[in-house]
Amino acid sequence: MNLLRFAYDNLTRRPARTTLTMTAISLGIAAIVALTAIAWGFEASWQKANDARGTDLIVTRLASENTMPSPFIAEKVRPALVNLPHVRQVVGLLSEMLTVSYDAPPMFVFGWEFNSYLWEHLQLLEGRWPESRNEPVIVIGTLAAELLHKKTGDMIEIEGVEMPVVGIFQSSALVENGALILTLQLVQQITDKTGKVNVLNLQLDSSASDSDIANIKQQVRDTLPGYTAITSGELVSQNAVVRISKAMSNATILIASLVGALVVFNTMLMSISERTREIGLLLALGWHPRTVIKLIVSESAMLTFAGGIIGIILGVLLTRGLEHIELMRGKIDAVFSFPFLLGVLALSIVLGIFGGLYPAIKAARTRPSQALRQE
Amino acid sequence: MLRTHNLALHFDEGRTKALDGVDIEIFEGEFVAITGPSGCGKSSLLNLIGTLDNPTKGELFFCNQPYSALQDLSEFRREQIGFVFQSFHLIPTLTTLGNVLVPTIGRSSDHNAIDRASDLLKLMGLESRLNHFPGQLSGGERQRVAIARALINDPAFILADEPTGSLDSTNATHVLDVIANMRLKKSLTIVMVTHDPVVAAKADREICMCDGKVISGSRRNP
Ligand SMILES: Nc1ncnc2c1ncn2[C@@H]1O[C@H](COP(=O)(O)OP(=O)(O)OP(=O)(O)O)[C@@H](O)[C@H]1O
Ligand SMILES: [Mg+2]
Repeated sequence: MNLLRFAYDNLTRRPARTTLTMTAISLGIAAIVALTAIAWGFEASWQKANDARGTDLIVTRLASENTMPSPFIAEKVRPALVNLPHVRQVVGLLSEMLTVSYDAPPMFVFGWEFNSYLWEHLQLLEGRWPESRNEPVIVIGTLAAELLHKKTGDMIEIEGVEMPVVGIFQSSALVENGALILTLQLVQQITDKTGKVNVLNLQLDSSASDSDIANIKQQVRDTLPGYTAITSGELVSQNAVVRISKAMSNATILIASLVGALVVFNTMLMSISERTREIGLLLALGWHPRTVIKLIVSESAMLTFAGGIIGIILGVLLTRGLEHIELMRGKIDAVFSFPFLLGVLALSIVLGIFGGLYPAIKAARTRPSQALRQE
Repeated sequence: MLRTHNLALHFDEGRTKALDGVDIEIFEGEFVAITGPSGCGKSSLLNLIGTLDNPTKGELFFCNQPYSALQDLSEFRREQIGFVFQSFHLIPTLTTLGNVLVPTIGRSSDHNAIDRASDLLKLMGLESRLNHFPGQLSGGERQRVAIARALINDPAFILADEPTGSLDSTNATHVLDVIANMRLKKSLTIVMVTHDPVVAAKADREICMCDGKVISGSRRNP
């Protein structure tokens, strides 16, 4: 007979209450898992897109807090960049989130400079690429094709302009798979942003070191007031959507943890007050008060541990479900790393220990003579 | 072996005097019955001997050592005292064997506890009931499980508060026989609270109480 076995028996003697508490804990943990995985996945997916393109540095307007960096005239900035050491290409990019079809959610429309290195990492599955800088044609990612029910040869209307789909491509980045890509000039025309881009991508030569990159950043800061050069990782972590989703996930962790701890706290308090006589008996039989504390804390930690496991499973299922909702498709690419899930499990055990500590101490202070008098 | 000096236990800021100047002495191996009308302080005295309560005044001595010098009360209870209660106080979710093992839970160094428990249950005539739950046992069987539990750590004393109070006379006799038997086998000292004159007559000595005071039997007759 050991303590954990006894604790387990104590939980199973009140199956309804145990189930209810476990459900509450698991819902909180599921919310934590889903929101955090989505927030991180969102960041990772953008990061992947930038990495796949082979972009080393990105030049944008300083302090652009919008979901997309705000557009600027490319030619005002480009001359200062092309002559910097190690810079091989400076490529403009204009991205928009547009409603393309009434039965599909808003989608990313990217304008990429014709003939630039950006196109190189995409894999063409069918059709062809645009053949000139202002040919009015579209290529779409596999996921976009699926969401829009389009194949090569079909027409798509963007901001009142009808254009044929000439190719379908695949990318290692989910964001790009769900996007429509046109030449930069075309997107500038359609959205009335002639000459404008919202980022300039710098590709450096392979000899560029970290200190060269730092050097370029410094020069941009010095010579281009109002602009900043950052790595794709920095751009992504500054992105407002990434920041909001991370803040939401942090708030969820905090609130769900608090609620979870309060729920076990309440459950254990109820449980020990029902068992006053029994706890008095344990003390009379020679249990050390410390052993009583261990018992109650084990019970509450077991409760939250089980809730944590169920919550993780629920959270993963919930996220997978969300990924399949039309509105969310192609925008979240949740990441469930093993250390993350292990961390969540550890968190749920910690909740149990914290929630159970006060009830446990209270139980250990039971006066056996009084407790045993209760009938 | 056990002595009290001017022991008092008050409740409600002195308005209830459960014990009021009790001086008794109990010797090793003795079987002492404590009798008296309801509310005279019998359970209170037993609780003080068992360290479940602290006296308001006075002192208790175990082998001439004052209780107030005990470092670890739970250790003292575990090693020296076995409790038996009128209402059994078994844990309903544990089997017979599990209940007997409760005092050993949380003590990882105790390796042969299960063997000791099964041996004790065999002595109680319960070898066929090891995996029954309390709800499946008769009153007499339950009390024998409680006695096995009280003996699991080889205590010096058994403190029994009306152990036959909830039993019919057949079961009561059986339980008393078991206790008497164990007393001889394990050279136990027994302090038993009882209402029943027949039970009290089986004891070596009867301590009579009234209104928190001892009226007879506080010392062993020479
Ligand atoms: N926690 C308490 N608070 C107030 N009074 C108490 C408390 N515990 C016991 N008493 C009082 O102390 C007195 C002695 O109680 P005790 O339980 O020792 O009597 P008893 O001799 O065992 O009675 P019985 O034969 O009915 O079990 C009683 O008057 C009782 O009401
Ligand atoms: Mg009593």
